[in-house]
Amino acid sequence: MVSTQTVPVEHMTAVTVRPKKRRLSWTQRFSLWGSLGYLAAFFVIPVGALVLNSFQTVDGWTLTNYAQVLSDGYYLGIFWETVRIGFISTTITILLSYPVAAFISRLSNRGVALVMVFVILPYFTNTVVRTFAWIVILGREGALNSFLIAAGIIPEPLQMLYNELGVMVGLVYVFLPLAILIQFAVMRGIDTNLLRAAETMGASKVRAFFKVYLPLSLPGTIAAALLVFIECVGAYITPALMGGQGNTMVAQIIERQVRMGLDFGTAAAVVVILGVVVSGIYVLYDRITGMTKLFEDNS
Amino acid sequence: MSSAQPALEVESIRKMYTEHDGVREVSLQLAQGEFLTLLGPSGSGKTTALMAVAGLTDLDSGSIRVSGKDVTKLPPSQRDLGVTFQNYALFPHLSVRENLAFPLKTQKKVKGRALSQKVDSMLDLIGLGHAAERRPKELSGGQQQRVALGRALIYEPDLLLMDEPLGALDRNLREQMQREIKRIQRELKATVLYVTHDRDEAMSMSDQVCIMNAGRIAQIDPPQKIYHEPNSEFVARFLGDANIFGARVKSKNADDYVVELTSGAATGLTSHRTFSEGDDVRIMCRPERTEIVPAGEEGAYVRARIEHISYYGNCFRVNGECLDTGASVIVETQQHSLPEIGATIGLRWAEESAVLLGEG
Repeated sequence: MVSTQTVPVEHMTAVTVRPKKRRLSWTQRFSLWGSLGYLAAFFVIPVGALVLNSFQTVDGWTLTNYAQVLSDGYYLGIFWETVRIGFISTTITILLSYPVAAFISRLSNRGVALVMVFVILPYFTNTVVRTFAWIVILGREGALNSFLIAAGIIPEPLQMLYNELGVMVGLVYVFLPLAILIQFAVMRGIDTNLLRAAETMGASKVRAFFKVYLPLSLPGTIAAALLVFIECVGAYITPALMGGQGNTMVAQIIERQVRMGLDFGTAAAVVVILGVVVSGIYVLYDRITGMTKLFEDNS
Repeated sequence: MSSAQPALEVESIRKMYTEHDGVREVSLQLAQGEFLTLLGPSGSGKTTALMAVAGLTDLDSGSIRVSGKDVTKLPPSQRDLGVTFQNYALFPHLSVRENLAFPLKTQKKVKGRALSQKVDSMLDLIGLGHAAERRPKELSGGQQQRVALGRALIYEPDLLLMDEPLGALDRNLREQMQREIKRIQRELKATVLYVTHDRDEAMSMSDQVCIMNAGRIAQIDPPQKIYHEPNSEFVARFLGDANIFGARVKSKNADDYVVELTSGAATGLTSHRTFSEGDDVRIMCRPERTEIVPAGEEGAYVRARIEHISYYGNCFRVNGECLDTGASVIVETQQHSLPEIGATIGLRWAEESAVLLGEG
């Protein structure tokens, strides 16, 4: 609510007096230095060390690591493959999560509490365990193939594991709840009266959706897509367990370099390049759609 | 009123959410250019009735016609109505200009230059030309209200429905917006169905006030009439303070009645409602039409003891207790020499100031 009171002039001059240097209270100092310390210990120092590492070999400071990675078709192919699988998986995740989040956002508080339990439930189990569950379902002798054969829909088991399909099913499954939660948070804040208002002005339900609901829910969807994409290109467990020989993703070669080659320099360079690629995509997203919109108050 | 097609005809609509909540039975008509307010306590069904006309609530039974066309089964988008909502329901992702253009773009009746001219003239009418590019959240409550009004009127709907449009505004702004809404309504000759629980708002803006109670219409009449000639104790008390006394019909001659008050005094009055001799009735008289006279004076209808006197600048308000029945009475007077608290006074009124109410 906007106050309509006008401030008398003499009071306003009092406000414009130069602010004094304020000493921070102990609690303020504690939270300030505390959070800075946390950031330093768990983000700046490890990432910094990694970046430094990427510019080093046994011979000292160098760009060899980057040259090696960027000139090798094998690495570039894996980068491309990672981004491609990440993009497709993200698209599928968003298409599946959008209607679910929209549906949940219209429920009563009780309904939300109930349904959200089922959305979050998978998080109670370890990702490795959940991924093995999919192997049981999708395997040659798995539940889905057995069912489809028994139903007479297919004559032979389908190859659904250890290929691109397997990786994507796994990624979509793992990140679906994340996408639902993020979009739900934004959709819950959309006033449904807006849709009713649009209808009274002659808009069909379809038009009301595209002109009102979609633009208002988009910030949440973009944020969800971005986070899911970042998670996908950095995924390790799912491609390792559900992908085949041809579906190596970036996280896997990083692991391989460290574990088999003890080549920390190259591994670090791959990490930094991946980080730059993801940051680049983030900046691009922000330019096009204005991520900052997400943090505006739309009520 | 009877010359043209009514803008709105509501026939025996019913919509009950629970056994007690909703609209039980409502019928009303609205002439072109008329301003009718549904007024009632919360839960009386006024918003439900409005939403039913808008098509945002489906009916259990009954029918609704807008400009003669039966819209009972039509979705809101095909009823050609303007609606303003309690919280304005402005599109937060669109500027003021885009909000106003939204219905025009949706209905595709005007395009291009004509469309932007229409938006510009509406911006002028609501006085927000300077804020055209702002987003709703950058506007004050009153400005948001004006955008909502403009957006609902820009496509010249047959009927404008307003659901408690001023509920969220503070007192001063509310009165200013009442005048603003009336000005715009007169300028566009809009027909308005208005919902509020604020009786001053209803009285000051409406051509007709429809008082609702428990899902039914208690009374529909112009403001003056409904205030001074309520047809029930509920309406009388809902619209303001009322002195109500028990009485019995002594004799009648056509519309002229002589009734005997519980106090024993007799008074004559006129009523267009039909009562029979010996009927138990009640007499209602508004505080500003009730006069204080010395207690012993001939012609005092009721005697009361003064309990409280308060000064309101333009008048005194005297609260008292009726000596015969213990009922509380209230008088508004400009008379300056008032008896003291505790003193016994007589009350009377001009015959035409009192109204006969039925029992119950």
